[in-house]
Amino acid sequence: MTRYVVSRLWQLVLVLIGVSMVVFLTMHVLPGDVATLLLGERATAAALLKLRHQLGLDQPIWVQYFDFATGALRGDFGMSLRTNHPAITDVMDAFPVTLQLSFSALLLATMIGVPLGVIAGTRPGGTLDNVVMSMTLFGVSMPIFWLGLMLLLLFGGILDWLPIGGLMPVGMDVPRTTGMTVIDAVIAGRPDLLLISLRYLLLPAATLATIPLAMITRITRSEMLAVIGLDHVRTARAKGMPERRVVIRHVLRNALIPVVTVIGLQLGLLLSGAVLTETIFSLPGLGRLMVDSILSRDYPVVQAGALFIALVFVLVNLLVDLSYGLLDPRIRRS
Amino acid sequence: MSAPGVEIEVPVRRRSAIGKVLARWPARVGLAITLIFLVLTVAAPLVVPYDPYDQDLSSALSPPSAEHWFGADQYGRDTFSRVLYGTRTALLAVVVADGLALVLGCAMGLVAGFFGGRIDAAIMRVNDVLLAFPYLLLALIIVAALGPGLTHSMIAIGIVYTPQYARLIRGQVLAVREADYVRAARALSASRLRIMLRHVLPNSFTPIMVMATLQAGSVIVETAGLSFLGLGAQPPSSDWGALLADGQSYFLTAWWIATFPGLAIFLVVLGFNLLGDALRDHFDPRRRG
Amino acid sequence: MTTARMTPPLLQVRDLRVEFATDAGVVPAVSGISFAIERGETLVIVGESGSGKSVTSLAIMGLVPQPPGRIAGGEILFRDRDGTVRDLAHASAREMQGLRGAQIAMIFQEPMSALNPVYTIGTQITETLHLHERLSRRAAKLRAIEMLDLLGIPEPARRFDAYPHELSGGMRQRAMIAMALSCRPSLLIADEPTTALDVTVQAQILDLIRRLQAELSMAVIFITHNLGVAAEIADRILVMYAGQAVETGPTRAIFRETRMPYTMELLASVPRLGLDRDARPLQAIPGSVPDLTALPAGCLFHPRCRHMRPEPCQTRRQLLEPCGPEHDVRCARWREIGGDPP
Repeated sequence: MTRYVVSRLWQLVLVLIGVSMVVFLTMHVLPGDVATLLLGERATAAALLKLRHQLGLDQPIWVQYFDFATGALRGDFGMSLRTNHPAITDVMDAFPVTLQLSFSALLLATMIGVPLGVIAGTRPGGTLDNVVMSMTLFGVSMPIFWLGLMLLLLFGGILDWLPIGGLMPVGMDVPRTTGMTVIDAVIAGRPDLLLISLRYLLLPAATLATIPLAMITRITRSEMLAVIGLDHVRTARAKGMPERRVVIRHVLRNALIPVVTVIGLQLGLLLSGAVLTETIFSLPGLGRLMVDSILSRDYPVVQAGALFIALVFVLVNLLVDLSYGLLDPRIRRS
Repeated sequence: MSAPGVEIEVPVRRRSAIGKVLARWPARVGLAITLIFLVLTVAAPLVVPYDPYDQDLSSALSPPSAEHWFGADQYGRDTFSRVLYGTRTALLAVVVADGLALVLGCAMGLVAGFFGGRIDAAIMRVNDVLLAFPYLLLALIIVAALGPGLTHSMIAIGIVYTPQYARLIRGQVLAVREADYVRAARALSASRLRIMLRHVLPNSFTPIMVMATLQAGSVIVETAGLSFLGLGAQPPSSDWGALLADGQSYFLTAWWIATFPGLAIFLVVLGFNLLGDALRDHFDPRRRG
Repeated sequence: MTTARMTPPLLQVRDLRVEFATDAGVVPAVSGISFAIERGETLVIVGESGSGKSVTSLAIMGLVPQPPGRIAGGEILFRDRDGTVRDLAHASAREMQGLRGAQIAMIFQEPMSALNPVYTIGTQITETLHLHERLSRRAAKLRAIEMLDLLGIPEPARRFDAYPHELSGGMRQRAMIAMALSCRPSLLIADEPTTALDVTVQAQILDLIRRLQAELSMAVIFITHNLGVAAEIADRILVMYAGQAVETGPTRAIFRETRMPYTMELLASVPRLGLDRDARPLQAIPGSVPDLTALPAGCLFHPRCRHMRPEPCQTRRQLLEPCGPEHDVRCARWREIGGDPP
């Protein structure tokens, strides 16, 4: 197990080096001349030369990459061209919003998806199964930026039950500890703020949960179907165990191993979806920050954000891999 | 003597396979939606009631009516006509992005699988790196590098989907490489490239088509997503994502501007997914679920 | 009731019929099996795969998968611990849950797949105890370790925390038996429990079942395709073919006065360890088990029978008839064929 972890960590380092190269190359080589970009088309040749020298752009490419990589290791990506904060600070400020959104979406998707998958998987071919499976097909075909708008229109506009965007009402703030409004409200001991922040979180989380929900339902169903016919399930029935307990203890528990993998792998979808969801619901998260930075050519922030998201993604995938061991004793001890 | 017999046999078998796929209703619905979509991309100029770019401020923001079935936007442009024209960008996205992913991925997979060793390892590492980014993030940084625009966004999506084709083809090559007829061909000292093209590609045709169909839906959604973010097609294009972005500003007062393009995306993606699922279930029964 | 008995037998199966709905129509997996068994007795049901022997045992357990299966007729009368007789063929799901694992237990062929890989042996044994007996955690654990010890598992306290994949095949089957016997059932059904094990372990497990049967005075229904195994432990033998009983009687009679040609073929196919391994090549029965969707007319075994005569074998369905004391056979020509091995 230890050897496995070490080899996985080594792979992770290699992948991260590759990721940093991709980010470096796309930002430094492709967009043409950064100096011209910063100073504008009418800058004098002397000024351009001077800036290039300052930025190290006259160095060989591998020196530039080395500078970039060592800076990245210290969290130094330069200053944001828009806010003049260190780029990494802007990224870290936006991250809690995305984290809270993604995590609540995943929670929602898991809490609904696993039971739906169990219901469908224990009645293959039945009416409920068909209904659930049709729902998952609709779910994966749904452009979530449209679904988000429609939910806003219905619950925020027509019914006027829920707010139409933002983290909190204008002028109202939760004392900041983690940057996640729900958790901060709990820490501050303010049930009123907790309720408000939850109301603001509900629609974005539901929107973002759509596709993971469909995926989790599907995989749970197919794994249930695969396990329910196995011999050990018959053994459990032969013990006189009620069917409901057989399904939970001896079918779902075994089916969970691949389900957990899929739940973990939803993170890529969630981070992608967060970009769109944050745009629709005007949330100041990492996805929105990335898009705004790209549109305003704020490259330090784009680089910092891209590397940070990739790091989170790769780390979570590693954790998912390692969590196999917790769920499957056959792997744990080998 | 035997060669003509073989040639006759193949199309007969294919037709019955397609017949079997279509025996189920989801596949038929999927095919119908896909066909309607394809017909509309060609026929859009003939069937639209208005020029999609014609502004008519007198009917600005008018709700759906007999005159404007899907209503009109803030400049009085006919939403129905614009949504119909949107099929063209969507098809373009499928052809360019899915096509790019297919060509790049197949090339990478073929080379990796056939040469093996270090070349294989290097290509697969590149694959791993591409997969280390969440889908849309990779597209975002590519667009960031190339600059916003429809063509760039389609290239970006194409690159994002490349690793999946590469993996698929590499697996196919590895499976076929050890097959007897490839060994025989090698013994006859046929060139490696020739072997690849003659044996691996035809064998991989079906799985590639299944994957391309399944990816088509995702490609449409993600290209529209980039346009929605302002990174893809730019206004006044009638790309569905751009239409949605347009409608977002008015969604509480003029719901129709955003509703219909989104519905169009949903239907087309549903069509591709139904068709793709049916094809996959048919050609790979193990994954039926 | 024709026979006067003080108490009814522990288990009496009468004319049991089990059907499965398939694409090819309704398949009669078991068509009219009858037998009885008392505590302390061992009945071995012998047959090839597809003969209906496993389905019979699942029917007694109430574990015939429905759909597609169903008990189409007959009775399974089981004498409860408190003396009442219940018909398991028509018992409710809840009634069956109360009996399964507590009074009727079953062990299966493949101990690796029959145990859940994600729980320890101990958890899986105490699970049964918790279901049927009000025991504290500690008491359940002690009972489970006691059972593992009884089954001859070394270091039972340590094995309690072992996962199935950490045990050898023989140890797993012992754990499986410990699990089945933990509530002291009065009836144990063993479905080919030794088939997946190698020969020496097979012998140990058979010994163990025999010993525990005496200790706990259980009735045992033992299912196998191997008459050699049957000879080791059976009091009575029931030979099944294509869903029917074709010969049944005391073990001695089945081996010494074999009447049914099918049983003779089975006997000829038993490997005799050490005795005459080189003397005679092992005989496989020619032909294959009949397709249950298209059963032949007449005697079901006639297409494979070397004693077949067109009349009556191809035309008349033969009934089970007595051919000796407590010895029944389903063959029209048993008097002519005689008891000589083929």
